[in-house]
Amino acid sequence: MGDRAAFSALVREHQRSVFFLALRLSRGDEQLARDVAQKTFLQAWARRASFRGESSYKTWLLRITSNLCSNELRRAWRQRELVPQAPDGAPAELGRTDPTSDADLDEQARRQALRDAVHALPDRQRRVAILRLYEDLAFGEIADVLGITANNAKVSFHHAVKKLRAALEPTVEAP
Amino acid sequence: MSRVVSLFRPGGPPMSCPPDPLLLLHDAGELPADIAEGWTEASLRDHVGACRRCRRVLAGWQRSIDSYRALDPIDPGSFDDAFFEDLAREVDEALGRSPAPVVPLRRRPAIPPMAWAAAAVLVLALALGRLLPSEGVPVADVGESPDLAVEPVAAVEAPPASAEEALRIEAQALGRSWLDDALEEELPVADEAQAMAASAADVYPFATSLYDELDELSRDELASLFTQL
Repeated sequence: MGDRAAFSALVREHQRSVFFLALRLSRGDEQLARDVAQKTFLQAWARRASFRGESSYKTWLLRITSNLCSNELRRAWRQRELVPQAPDGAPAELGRTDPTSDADLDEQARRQALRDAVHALPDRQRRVAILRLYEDLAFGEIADVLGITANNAKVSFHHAVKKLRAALEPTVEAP
Repeated sequence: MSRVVSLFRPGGPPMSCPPDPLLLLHDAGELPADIAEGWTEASLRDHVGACRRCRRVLAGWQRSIDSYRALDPIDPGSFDDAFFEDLAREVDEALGRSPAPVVPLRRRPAIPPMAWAAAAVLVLALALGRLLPSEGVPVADVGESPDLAVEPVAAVEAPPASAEEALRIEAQALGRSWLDDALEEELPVADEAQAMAASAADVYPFATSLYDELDELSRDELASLFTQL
């Protein structure tokens, strides 16, 4: 039971990172992200003996999350279970209230443009960008999560931001 | 000096400036040694300190990154502590359940022992139905002594031959369909959890349908077959 108690503490420490990464990779599919988060911890528990401490627990968990997300999204794509769409075709907003002013509308439009641009990136660049921008991981940690080299992560991030700038100017880019 | 030549291109940075990707990677933290083209962290830092153009490039890069971070499509604040408490509890409960057996990813569904027993009884009944005489047969016909005068024995409530044949055909078809269901179906399962769920979902209706069919037959048609046992 000591193991279980320690693992429960681990779950509570990292569940936000795990859930938000799954939510971002799934483009806001909350149910899928929740399922992936749960499966991540169950898989981590089942494979705890294989954790050798070569990376941090966090990057190990995020690696499982990233892989599970890929599997779930592939399965969802095969089953044509696409992300819930708002009536205008945009993905449903993620826990945000309806816009009430022009400024809100403008921010939502820019947010939507950024989301579309991020998801238009090649898969590796998209994952690197999400991990760097929103999980604030170092390139070495991103490399651990994605199973690539740190240099590869840096170059992917550079290409990702370059493409985002090209796609979003002047929608998102600050003047 | 080959480095300087390789960097020059129309509209690009001046010959003395590092290429933008190198500049941006330097700004992001570590400079990848294998693509540094002779630049070092220190020489880049010195160059940026002295070059207005490179500072402008870096400022624009940082502005972009900041704006992307500020426009995070996820609003973490909309998922409160209660949401995560709930999630942690779900994980705890799932961990607390007894470990399920590992199920092969592609497997034939398990068949309940009672289903095998019922199928075996049916097959035995069919086999005996073929071997046993279905109508009255004189004992002499089966090789007894001619000294004994025995009256032909009438079969007790034997069904007509055509009905028996129809019953056998029906029973064989039923048996085939059971075996098809049990042995030929493979479920396209992708992971262990799905396999376990599929297994439970698959075996139950199979067993149920088997017993339903047996009940159905035992009421009418199979009654005469089993009397021959």
